[in-house]
Amino acid sequence: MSDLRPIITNSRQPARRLVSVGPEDDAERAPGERMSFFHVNDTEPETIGDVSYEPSSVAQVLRETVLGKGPISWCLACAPFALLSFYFRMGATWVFWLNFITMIPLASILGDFTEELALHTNDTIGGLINASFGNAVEVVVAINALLAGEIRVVQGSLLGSIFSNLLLVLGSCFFFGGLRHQEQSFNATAASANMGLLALSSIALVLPTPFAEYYELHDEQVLMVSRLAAVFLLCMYAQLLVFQLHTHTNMFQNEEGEDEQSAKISMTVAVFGLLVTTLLVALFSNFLVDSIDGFTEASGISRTFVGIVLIPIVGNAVEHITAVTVAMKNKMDLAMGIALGSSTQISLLVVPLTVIVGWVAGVDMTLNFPHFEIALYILSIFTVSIVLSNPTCNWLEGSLLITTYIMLAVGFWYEKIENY
Amino acid sequence: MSSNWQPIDSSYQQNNGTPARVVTMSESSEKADDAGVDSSPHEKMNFFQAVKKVQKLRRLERQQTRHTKSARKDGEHAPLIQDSRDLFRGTEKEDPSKPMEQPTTLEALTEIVLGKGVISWCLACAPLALVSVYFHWGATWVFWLNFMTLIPFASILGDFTEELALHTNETIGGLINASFGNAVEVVVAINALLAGEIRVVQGSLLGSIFSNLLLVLGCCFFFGGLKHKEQKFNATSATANMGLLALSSIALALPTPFAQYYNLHDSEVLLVSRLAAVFLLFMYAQLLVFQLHTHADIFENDGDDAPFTRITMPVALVGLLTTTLLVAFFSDFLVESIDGFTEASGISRTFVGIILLPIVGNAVEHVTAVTVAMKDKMDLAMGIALGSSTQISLLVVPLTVLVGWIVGVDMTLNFPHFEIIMYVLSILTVSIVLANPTCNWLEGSLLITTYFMIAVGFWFEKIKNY
Repeated sequence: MSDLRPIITNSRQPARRLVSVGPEDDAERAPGERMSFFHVNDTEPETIGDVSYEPSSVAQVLRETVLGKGPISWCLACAPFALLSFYFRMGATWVFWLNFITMIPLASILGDFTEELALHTNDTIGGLINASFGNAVEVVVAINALLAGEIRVVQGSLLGSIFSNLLLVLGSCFFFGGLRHQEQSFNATAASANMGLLALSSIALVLPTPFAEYYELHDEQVLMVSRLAAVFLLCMYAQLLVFQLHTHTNMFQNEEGEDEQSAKISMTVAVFGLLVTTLLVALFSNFLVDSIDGFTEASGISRTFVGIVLIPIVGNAVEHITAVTVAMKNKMDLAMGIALGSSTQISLLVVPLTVIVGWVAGVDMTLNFPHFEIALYILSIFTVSIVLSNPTCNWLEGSLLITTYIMLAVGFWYEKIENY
Repeated sequence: MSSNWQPIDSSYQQNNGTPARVVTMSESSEKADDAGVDSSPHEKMNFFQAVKKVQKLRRLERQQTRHTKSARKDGEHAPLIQDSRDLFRGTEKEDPSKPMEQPTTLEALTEIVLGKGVISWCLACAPLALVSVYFHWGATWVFWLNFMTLIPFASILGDFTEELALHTNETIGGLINASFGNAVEVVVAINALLAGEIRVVQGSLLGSIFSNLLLVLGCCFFFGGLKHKEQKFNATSATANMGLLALSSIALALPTPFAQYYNLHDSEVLLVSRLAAVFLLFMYAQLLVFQLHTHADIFENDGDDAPFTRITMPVALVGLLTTTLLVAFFSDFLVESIDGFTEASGISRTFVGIILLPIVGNAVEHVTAVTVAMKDKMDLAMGIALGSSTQISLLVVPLTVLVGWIVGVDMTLNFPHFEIIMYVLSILTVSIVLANPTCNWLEGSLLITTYFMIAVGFWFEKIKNY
């Protein structure tokens, strides 16, 4: 019970500490020299006195946030090129890929600012903030696509995010963690709670789908069912928040006595940074979404594949790396909290949110997915719940999940949906 | 042994060698819990045990109220049980040495029929229901009045069943409980079948399973979880039940793809359905043999050497038959009014069958299960909920198919795919939730939300040419 991780996370906090940059014990390094972002620091994360985290000036912190992430920060160099490609019309493919790569580090920066903001508030509000902004990039991309009328891309990106978290990220955690440690155990309660919520969401996603197929219903009724289901899902999400942040908080408290990490920047700066980053994300994702049409035509890649496999990488890449690094440090509960919690959040919050936003904006966004995708969704949940039924994991289970994801991706590569 | 643990019934020690333990996680016992929380499994609770336990608890409660009343009257008797919480502490044996008045038959009958508070008031609808039929008040009135009338009958039927079972030995008693446990569902289904309303029959059966599996179970977890932070239950019996339900889902699904994917004559679909029904009934018979005969010694021996029955066996039998006839009578009106009701109200026939009709058979069971769950007897509550759904899927569904065969009505197990998909997904969701042997209010809310979403789906379902 002591290892229960919240479904929605304050998990970035300890995750960030674990992935923190710092001198290794036995290596001789010049003071202040930075390690590679990908280095796995095996020292116990709690004793972080040797990390160069002195909160000095705001500028230094901001520089660290934006530029201190190694290869990921290099991606920011694409930003001016992305703008150039758009305004000088370098072609849809260039626009797509440049904006794609630009957004990856923005997701990470957004996460940092969210964490800083959450540190200024108490546990509950902090948890709430983390919960809401944890998947901000997915929300922004989805709403951009929605307002552009690209329903298929929206549905695809949401489903793809869930697939990615559930299969790819989780599988990678098990796989790379299992390469290092023969067998790792995790808490079954949190896992089954998450899977239960995902199963609920799968029912919600399935609900409108058979309608449109088996019965001759007007689109309005499919819409109505989708919107009602979305309301139910949001209620469920609110209850999840109440459960984690209010009634059962002590179930999720960290037993290791992690000391409170003090905020490095003031609240105003954090809010400002958060807003600025969100605006940047919105800007670049706008270009991204606009270029999808031309990109699918030019490259021949199907719209579905773009939505389900490519776009989720934007929101998930950094989270992915974090989770795998943490898993390799034998903190499997934390890694699973990130992976499963993210998928639960997307299915319970982001998906109904897009339906409701569509309702408000007058876009006919429904939960009517192609049957192939629904069947694969259900089977994925089924597979993951079987794997998680045993509270230990190894590299083979991880490889199993990754292979499932790759097979799904192959399927989606060839999927051609007419008249959608 | 920590003082927190009380054997439910000392007779457990005779049978198993180890006392059964109910570990309460209520907040009041948290301190003692830290010392003595045991992760040993709860006692297995199959449906028949659960029903018997509930009946026993009710009997003891009645004894207590009777004693309290008599104590107040003449001030001489001390109540047999100090307060109702003692029911769940260890003083649960009916003590024949204490003086206990035997109520007269009339008293007992009054208690059975009228002694249930709000539920008994519904009986007032009975004359109104008759009036509405004979004076042609309109289908909507007829429907709702007969609907309300049937709800207390389920409870009265349960009481007479219990009284009759007490007069027989364990085995026959278990058999009687098993057969009449869902008598109302059977009667309603057969009535609808004979009226040719196949869709309503299928809907009411499927809806009963949904209701027990999602709504009742969800409410047990939810309301129990509001009171007690976390409750444990026995995972083994939960998975055993889910296994049987999975079997039934295969049987329900079996004829369905036939009609869809292959060009089969309806006669072949019928044959597949009937064969599947035979297999299911066979499975049910084996379940009974298992629980009442070959593995009966695993079950508790109540130690009820002199069970306290309130009425004699003939009276119980007559009461049982009378109530069943009354149920048949009123459900006949109910079923006949469905046509007009669906037209007048615009509610789809499917919704009526899947959501509305099961309330009749389930309402009282629902309240009982939730009350028991709030008293931290989660195994018992789950035994009722899961056991009831297993019974319906293994007994009532095939029974209707066979009755249809005999009577010449073409009742098949060919359900609309939407319903089968929902059924399979519900079983999947419930088995995921039950995989972890603790429960909390969030899981309960999850199951209830699933039920509501399915209900929303069925509200909009319009099946053509069915």
